[in-house]
Amino acid sequence: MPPSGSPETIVPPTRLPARSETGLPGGAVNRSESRRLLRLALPADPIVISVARHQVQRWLVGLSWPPDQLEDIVLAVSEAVSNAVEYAYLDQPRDVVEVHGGVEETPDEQRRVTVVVRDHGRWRPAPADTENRRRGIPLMRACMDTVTIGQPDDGRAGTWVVLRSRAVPPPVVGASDHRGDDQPY
Amino acid sequence: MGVVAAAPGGYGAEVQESAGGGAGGDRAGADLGPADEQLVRIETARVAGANSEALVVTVAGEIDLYTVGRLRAAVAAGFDQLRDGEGLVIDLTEVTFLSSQGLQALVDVTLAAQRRRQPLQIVVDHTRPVIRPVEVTGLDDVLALFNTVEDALHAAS
Repeated sequence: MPPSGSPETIVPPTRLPARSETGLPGGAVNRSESRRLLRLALPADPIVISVARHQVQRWLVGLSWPPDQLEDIVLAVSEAVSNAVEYAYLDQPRDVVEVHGGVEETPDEQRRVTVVVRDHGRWRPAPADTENRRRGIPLMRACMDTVTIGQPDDGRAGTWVVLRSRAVPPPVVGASDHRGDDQPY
Repeated sequence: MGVVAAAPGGYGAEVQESAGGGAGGDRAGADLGPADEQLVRIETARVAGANSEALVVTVAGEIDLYTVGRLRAAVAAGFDQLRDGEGLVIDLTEVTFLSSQGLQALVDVTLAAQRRRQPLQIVVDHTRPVIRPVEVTGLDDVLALFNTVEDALHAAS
């Protein structure tokens, strides 16, 4: 079992999008509800980092997320996925990198997304190389409201990175409800 | 300004072929996303300004862990092709994504150029995909950034 991180790096389960928020699993999920969710499981291969970016972008466009904030979220997710692809499975067979996202309303009627990037490889309490420590983590922190790197709470191996976006205004009613389905990727 | 002489033999294409394929022979990703040559395109051409010539490495697309090797290879090849008095310009105007690996590559080639006492300029317009990660990490103080290739050539002359 890998060593435990310091308490502040362990993500309390309440910080994650709860299943009740994300609407999974089970039961009929209508289209407007399913559009609020992001569920990706990608092989930990360098080529999938671009796939993850485009999927996150499509998801956020479908949510009419403001472009500047959208790009920041895509950048942060890309760095987290890249880190997992590069370091999670160094000494073991490659497994998947999961990217799960959900939307929540804030008390002041704004909204934010939380994206969890998770691997099932070795626990990496600190970035494994100075390049990522110097650039990747600061990039994520600059782009998001909070970034928490921790161990999954279900006892399985791996690392998860919880990326919580800044709050943005609600979408304009009636604006571009289908744009997310028309993206070319 | 105009292109006076492309490097012989389709130089950029040669770099693409030799440096591509970060994922090795694993084509399982082929049906998941575009191949790396679709993610990034790099061309190198000799460009004449009013008072100077430069080798311009033009990059379009996404620079990340998968494609950064292509950028590094193209710039390294550009250094080898420089004539006396020429500078190297990396034009990132058409780059749509730049990751931490791309940032590090830009820092590394900038330091390499300084060691070789050869001018190296990086062209980024004000659009966010490139300037955002550069500014966030404070590298706008480290990299020689210009808004246009013309500006970069003018600075080099």
